[in-house]
Amino acid sequence: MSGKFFWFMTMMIFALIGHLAYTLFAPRYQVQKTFESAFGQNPKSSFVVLSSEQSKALFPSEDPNLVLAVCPYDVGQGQLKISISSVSDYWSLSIYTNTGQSFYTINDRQAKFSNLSILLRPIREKPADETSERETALKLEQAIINSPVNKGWVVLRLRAINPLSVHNTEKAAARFTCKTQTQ
Amino acid sequence: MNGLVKFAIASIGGIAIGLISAQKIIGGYEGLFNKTQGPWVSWPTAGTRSSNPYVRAHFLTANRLPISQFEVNELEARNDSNGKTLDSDCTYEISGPAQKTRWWSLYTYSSDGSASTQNIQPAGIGSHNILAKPDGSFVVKLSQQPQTGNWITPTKGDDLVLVLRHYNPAQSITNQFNFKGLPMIIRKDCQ
Repeated sequence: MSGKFFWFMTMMIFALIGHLAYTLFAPRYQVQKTFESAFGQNPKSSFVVLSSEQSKALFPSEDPNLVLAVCPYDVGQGQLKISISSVSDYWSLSIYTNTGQSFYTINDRQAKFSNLSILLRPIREKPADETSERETALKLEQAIINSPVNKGWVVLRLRAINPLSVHNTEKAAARFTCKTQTQ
Repeated sequence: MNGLVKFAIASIGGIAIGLISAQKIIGGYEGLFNKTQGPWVSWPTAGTRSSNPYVRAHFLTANRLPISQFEVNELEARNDSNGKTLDSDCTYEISGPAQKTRWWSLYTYSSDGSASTQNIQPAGIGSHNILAKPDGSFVVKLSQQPQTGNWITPTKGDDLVLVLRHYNPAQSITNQFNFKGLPMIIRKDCQ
């Protein structure tokens, strides 16, 4: 192997390491730092409703028309029960892993029952695909979702289309609950 | 040149190449994992289980949580419809037909991802407060200068990103990534 080729290959190996490290770890580190600085490392028993100032500080690129509420979870400590109340305007609920991957989303139109609950549990079998889980939620008052990881965040987004409606929307967000069910 | 110096050059140069190439792909400049329609760029697998690390990184490095395209179809524009980079010192006319979605919003952000906050005039508009024509079509002016009709302002001095969000978009959009009917962004004049 010639000297130039050896050093070229060395450079490419470092390029690969730098590329993968940045792609895989930088976003994960950033999202975990953001959430843990805001909500701590321990799971909460309810949604934390973010004020508009907190939302701007944590998620500056999110839609300002939305009120955000976050529930950190750890299904290693027990199943998480999320209770969804009937709210007249738009809302969506997404469940994320602690690396920022969304694996379940439902909105007000899909949740046809006024009191839908979602049971989030550790994965024990091959996960059903996203569509079938959504369909399950359409048919039953309780949806069971397998979480691919133990820790993550449930993020609730509710529409607040003007400053006057923000307070009411925050009150509506407080009607959604998440609670760890210890065995 | 001794081996230690060559190793330092190879390692530093290699890591730099790795970081720059990662940022290019994550930023969407290579078009590997995004779809483009005119000036609008979408990341179809964002917020799904099939999203890859580059797509996730695109959102998370900007402190944005990716969400399923079936829930919110997020489209970004860094250029106008003629391919020129958006400039906060210019006036733009953003016009389009009625959007096939439950509701939508259009906001300007600076290149670091933050929404404009220093202006009295809002940095965004949406289907709930836009003055639209009877057929649903609309025109929005993006400018530092006062404008008649629908007017939004960018943060002065920053590179601009426009983000159009379709909430609960029509299946015709999400099934085929069919983004026809997206607004045009036309540069008018610059200061």
